[in-house]
Amino acid sequence: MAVSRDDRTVYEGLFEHVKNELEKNNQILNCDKEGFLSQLGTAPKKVSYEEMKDLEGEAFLSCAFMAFFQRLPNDAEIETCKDLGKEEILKYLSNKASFSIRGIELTDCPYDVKPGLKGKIFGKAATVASSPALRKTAKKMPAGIQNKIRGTFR
Amino acid sequence: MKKIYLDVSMVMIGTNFTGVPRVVMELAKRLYNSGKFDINFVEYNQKNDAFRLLDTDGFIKFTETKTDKRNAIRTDKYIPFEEMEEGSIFFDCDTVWKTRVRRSFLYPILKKNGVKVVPFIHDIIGIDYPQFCENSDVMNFIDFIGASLLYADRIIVTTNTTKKAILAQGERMKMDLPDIAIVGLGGDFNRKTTNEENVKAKIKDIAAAGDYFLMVGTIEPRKNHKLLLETYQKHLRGKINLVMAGYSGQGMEDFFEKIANDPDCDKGLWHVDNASDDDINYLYKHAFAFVFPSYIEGYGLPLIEAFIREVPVIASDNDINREVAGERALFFEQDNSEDLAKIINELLSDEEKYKTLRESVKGYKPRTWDETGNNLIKEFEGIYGEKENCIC
Repeated sequence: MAVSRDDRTVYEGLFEHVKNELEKNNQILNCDKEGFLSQLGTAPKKVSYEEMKDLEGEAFLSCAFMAFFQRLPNDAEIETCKDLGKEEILKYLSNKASFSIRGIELTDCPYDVKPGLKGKIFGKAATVASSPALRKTAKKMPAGIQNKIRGTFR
Repeated sequence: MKKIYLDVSMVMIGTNFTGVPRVVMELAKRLYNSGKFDINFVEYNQKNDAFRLLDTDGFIKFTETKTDKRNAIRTDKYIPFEEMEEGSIFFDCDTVWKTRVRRSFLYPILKKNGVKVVPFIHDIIGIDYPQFCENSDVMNFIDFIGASLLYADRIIVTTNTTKKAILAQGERMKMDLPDIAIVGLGGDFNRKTTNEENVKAKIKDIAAAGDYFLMVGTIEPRKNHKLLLETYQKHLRGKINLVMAGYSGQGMEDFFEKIANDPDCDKGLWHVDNASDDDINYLYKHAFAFVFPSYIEGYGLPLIEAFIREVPVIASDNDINREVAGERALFFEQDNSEDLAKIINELLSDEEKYKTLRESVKGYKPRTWDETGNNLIKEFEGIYGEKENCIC
């Protein structure tokens, strides 16, 4: 569900403000504006391809990551996707654990994008591992190990 | 009875119940105990793609026990987003921008169905100080704040500083904003008597090594610990010690290296990681002063915690610290180590001045959570009153 044009103006205003604040502090916002604005209003599970189909390059990647996972791609993911077409990017994303964990359903999409086997397996594992007791145990581990665990289920 | 929905999805998966989760739990208890509302605690359920209703009594009990076994609280009743009851209030006070249900998706549906939207905005650091936040978090925060500005019937904030910051955004974007009410947070922390048997030997050694100025809080760029280290290294070495207690946050590798390479490391300069409540209490109790150099805070809870323990406070001069600390603290120019050192030196050499500062925090009484709860209830009653008086 895309947001209305009037609403979009407000989100855009906040985006620009944040971008300027980061630049004042010599930082950059690693998110394409069109990509960000296009994914606003996305439902938790049903993601429409319609909202991202006209985007290209960085905008498409930002939009897809935010729409599916509510996060931006990291450097390794950007590198992996840089030479891929839209269909390949979607298939790469659908093979991530988070795609299965979130039960994402991509609608209005001409490509056959379904959760991959790897994602399904890690998705099941994540369901078991997400109990508060296990999370509490994991939080006592060194930061490096915690990051590895997080990375596995992203 | 007036119905209020409260999305507690993040609390239900949480492992740490300080900060925002604590606020959620304290408010939930007061709203429930008032008996004035039909409180419905909900969490997002991915399988049914709807809010799952939680057992109200079970959740209230959970706010006390904080048990890891939470399945018993979960019912098999689900409320689709489109079927939240017309005329009810949807109250958001958890870290909802981290949940799967984007508010840019949810709030328009609620409004369309006649549900009143009331977000509790703890701060807008992610908008005005994004340099201290992860890019992904900032993007999700824009979603939440944008939806709140567009669809809230009333926004609730904890400080005038946050209210002013939101109004500034509205003015900048030339948009009409909903009413913004201030409901300050409670702080009736138990003035814990330190169980000295539980205090680690290292902590006792630090306190016994001489006067020290203390900072408590996660070591992260926003808290500006680097200023304390600079002040110590350039101006205060040999005059007073420095103790920084808090978990090691990200992006501080250089800072920790500087501490490790300092000749006074673990002699006059300490970073205390993994401190227990008793350790922290002990450190507060023996501190010469609590120094708070943070660039920006949501509420500045560490200041209140210092006051409760009657520790003299020196804070960086910014709006939020001024608002929370008022006349009780001394202030130094933000990022100015000379100014901070000057104040500490004066306190070290001028007994009268130090005594006056200490007196100013004696008998400090923070706002109680009950007061916070009552103020929030008044806001809800006001919202319902508006509806009942409406002749349209």
